[in-house]
Amino acid sequence: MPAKTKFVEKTWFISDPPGTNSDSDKNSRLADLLEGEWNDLSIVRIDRIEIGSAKGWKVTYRG
Amino acid sequence: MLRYLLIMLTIIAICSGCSTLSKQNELERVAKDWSMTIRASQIIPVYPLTEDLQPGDVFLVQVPIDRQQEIYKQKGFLPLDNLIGRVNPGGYKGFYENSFFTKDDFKLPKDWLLPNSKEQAWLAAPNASFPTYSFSVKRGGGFNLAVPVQGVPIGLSLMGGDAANGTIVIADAKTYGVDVISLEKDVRDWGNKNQEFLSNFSPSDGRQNYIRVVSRVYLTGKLNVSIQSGRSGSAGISAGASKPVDVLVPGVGTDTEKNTTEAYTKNVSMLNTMLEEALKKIKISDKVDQFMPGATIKVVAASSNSISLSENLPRPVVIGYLGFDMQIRLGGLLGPPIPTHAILSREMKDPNLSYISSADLHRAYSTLKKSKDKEAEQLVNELNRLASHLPEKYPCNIYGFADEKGTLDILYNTEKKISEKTLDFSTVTAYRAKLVRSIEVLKEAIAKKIGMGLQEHLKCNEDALLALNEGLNTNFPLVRRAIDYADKLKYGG
Repeated sequence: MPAKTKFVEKTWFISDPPGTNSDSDKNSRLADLLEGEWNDLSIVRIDRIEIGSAKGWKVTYRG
Repeated sequence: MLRYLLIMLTIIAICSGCSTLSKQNELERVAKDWSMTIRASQIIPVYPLTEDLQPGDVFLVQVPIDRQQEIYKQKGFLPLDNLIGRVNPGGYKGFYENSFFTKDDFKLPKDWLLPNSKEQAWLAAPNASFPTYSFSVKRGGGFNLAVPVQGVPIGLSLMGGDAANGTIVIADAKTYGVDVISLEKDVRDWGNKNQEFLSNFSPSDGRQNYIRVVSRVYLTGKLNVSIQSGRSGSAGISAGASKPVDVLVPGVGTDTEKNTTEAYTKNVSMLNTMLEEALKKIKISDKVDQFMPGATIKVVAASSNSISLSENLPRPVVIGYLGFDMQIRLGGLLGPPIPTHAILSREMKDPNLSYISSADLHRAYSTLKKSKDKEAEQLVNELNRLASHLPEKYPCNIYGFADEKGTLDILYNTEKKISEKTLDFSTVTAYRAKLVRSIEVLKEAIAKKIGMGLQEHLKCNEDALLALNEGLNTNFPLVRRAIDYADKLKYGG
């Protein structure tokens, strides 16, 4: 039986570009990330962050 | 006798043609010189000048890029004839709220174009400055000039010369615009609503159409014209009929009154009265007088061989603009924005991948991969071969923010393999997107002074992206074909 592989989880936050206000803008942004820099990540979870001026998508993935 | 007459008529016809051709050439040359002055300021000239051009104006461009470059080189400007839409940019507030906006419910260009009765039009708008435009003309060849400034032909007439040199100063220049990011979004919303119309201009038979979007305009309300007679060397000597400006020449005799400032002012005033009558001044209200064509022209200084005029426009007119182009793709979808200047200055002679996002590339690849079509399958195989441009391991650290607080983190270090799986085109797009994001993050971190020695890493990331793009650009026709075919599969056509 193979030894258990230890996965390290990492997070990556990418903020919205200016003018991202509507829900469709936010969804379209997420779609771009999933088709772009996140397209080969082993994604565990995706969070929408909106705290004060910090707005964007945060991905948790296995590094 | 009849034969002699025919020969004479032929000669007259040829000479007349030569004259028309010469005048045409002269007009085009002066129009080009004028445009080159505006272009020297990295602005695309508008010709003829107009008041009715604003950020958000959308033009249809059906001329291929190579031909556009040719026309721009030959004429110096691009005709803007197919206005298909006017988008009212929603980004003005965010763009100007910390600088030029004075109230919340500000509307551009209306509030600057037509302010309340006490303020002058465009007074509150940001200033701009242009270099001086120099010209030389001679009677018989474009004497009325293609320069869209009335003061020039008037000055030339007053000088009564056959040839003259002059300068035009574009004074009281103003500018306003909006950021490309917010405008692109507004244009995309407009494009979605008008997709059916735009689909009429989808690529066909290898022909690609674009929309050109104006993002910034430059206006002027005042032009100062100085003209010096080509006969300036002949001071004091004149032949033939006297010129109107001669009234300002101080006599050589004992009549000292002619040499006084009072006499000079009186004479300039006389010239202005003469100009008003000659140009059939009309009254448009109790306060505003204007010459028939729209501008007010005043002589501000004159001598025996030079004259200076000041031309005030009732409201500033647009002399140049900045903008971006977007491809009209299959189904009327719009491509990414490309600066118009990049297209016209031949930087885009060989269109390249720098303007296509990694997400768009990946979408096209996924569409092809899902299809069972033979051609799609072949394109996928060819695209996968582009993975040969990938290094085995990350050539530099890839940076990102780990959280919303802006904690800078190394997401991938130089020990990490680009991928543990078989490399394909999907790996290429992911690697490219990571480099783009890392560069963006590093620039932000450097600006905010987060971390040390990041400049070096930024340079490494930029070099890696450049190397990848160069590798991909050598296969641009393949990538273009793949995107177009994926669009065709998705939207038909």
